[in-house]
Amino acid sequence: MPEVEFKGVKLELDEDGFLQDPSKWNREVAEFLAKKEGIEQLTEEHWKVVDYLRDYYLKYQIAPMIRQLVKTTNFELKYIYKLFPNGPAKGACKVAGLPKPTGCV
Amino acid sequence: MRIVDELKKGPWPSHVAELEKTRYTMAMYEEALKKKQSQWMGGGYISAPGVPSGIIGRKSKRPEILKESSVLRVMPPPGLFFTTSLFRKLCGIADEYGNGLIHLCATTSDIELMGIPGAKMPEAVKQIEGIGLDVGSTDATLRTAKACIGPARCDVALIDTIGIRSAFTKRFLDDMQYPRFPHKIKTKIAGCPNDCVLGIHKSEIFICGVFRDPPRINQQELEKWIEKGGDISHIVSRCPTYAMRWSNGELTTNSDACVHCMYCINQCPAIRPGEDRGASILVGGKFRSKHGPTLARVLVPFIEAKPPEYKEILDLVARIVEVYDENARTKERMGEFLYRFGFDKFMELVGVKANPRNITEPRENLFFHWKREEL
Repeated sequence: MPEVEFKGVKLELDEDGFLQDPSKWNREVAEFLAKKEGIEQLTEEHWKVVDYLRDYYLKYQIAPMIRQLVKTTNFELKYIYKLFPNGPAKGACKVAGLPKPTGCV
Repeated sequence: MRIVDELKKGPWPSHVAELEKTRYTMAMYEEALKKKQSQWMGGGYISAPGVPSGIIGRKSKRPEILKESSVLRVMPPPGLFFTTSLFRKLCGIADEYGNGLIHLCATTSDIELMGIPGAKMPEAVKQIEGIGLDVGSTDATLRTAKACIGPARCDVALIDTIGIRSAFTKRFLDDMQYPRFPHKIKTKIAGCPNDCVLGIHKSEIFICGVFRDPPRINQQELEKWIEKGGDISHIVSRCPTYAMRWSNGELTTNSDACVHCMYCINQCPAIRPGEDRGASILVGGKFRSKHGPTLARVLVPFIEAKPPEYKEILDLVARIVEVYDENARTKERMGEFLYRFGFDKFMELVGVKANPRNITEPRENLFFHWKREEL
């Protein structure tokens, strides 16, 4: 299991690069994870997706379905793929510090 | 001694000899034959950066021989009409990036390029897009519509299946490339109720060409056919609803009784389908469903097919897909969803009026009465 040190805090990642402990997530960690994904700068639109995923996860302990994400953020799925090239599951959830989603999203 | 060498012996053509012409890893096949079990792990869909769907992951149980051999799925042109130059380019890409094997007419008539390692995928996708084809149609997407050959070769085609498939692909291309549904949605388009694409068994949404008026009978051609030795009285006796009558050398049909089963049309060249043509939409067929094999049910018995956009049909398909996306659970196919959700509620949400043709079977218990509130 690879470990990454970021600003004095050790972050445990699984083999696909997902954060193991969601409580260690903060906005700086998100920017660090985004750079690993190949996203240069997190814009407001990125944050809209990430914040929604984060809030939903804290509320229900599960990642939302894609149709809920598309409906709430009002972005087309194609546009979300443009923001996060790896898609909502592998890209956006990783930046939001969620554990690896099973099945959907 | 290898088992695969035994398979090359004998006067008949050998698949091993053919496979050895490509770069297929024969050691994997040898191991599978020895252990009497496939050495590939179960499939799954993977996505590369910039390629949301189109890649089928295929990992090996024996990483010391070969680590992975993924598959790239390409959507074919409508009607499966290829030019030789397109084929040559496709073969070149398969040879350059994969192991040289191509599946043609795979699931829902797709093309699959075999044995491409995951790292080379984005480059291979760029090459495919360069020759004018699209990748996609894996994972929880609208799959490529499978259409029968239709009016291109068939005598009894009632709708332009290739045209509908082309319009379908143009309209729903985004849904075919970006997975967003609870599970896959397969669409099949058949030109007539003979249903050569097996749409009623195997597709979520089935667009079938139908006609409303009785079959046309050409009496002169019929006489010629009987002179040649055709047995018209046999065909009349086989009519399931006794809608045909053969007396005094004249054939008549009862238009109310005819159920358009296509039997007489297939058997006799003098009987042709009627002129009032359109499409019928059926939903929810699945062969290996949770509740046993289910046939698709009629949702709309008749809808007009207007080229070139086929707006009425495709609007209805979009509504069906939207209702399914809203209400189905994850990994639930359309047939299972209808079984759980109820067909009446589904019809209401899609916005289709109930019709006697929606009924699949007559009531079993005539003495059971519904309460008024339940109706």
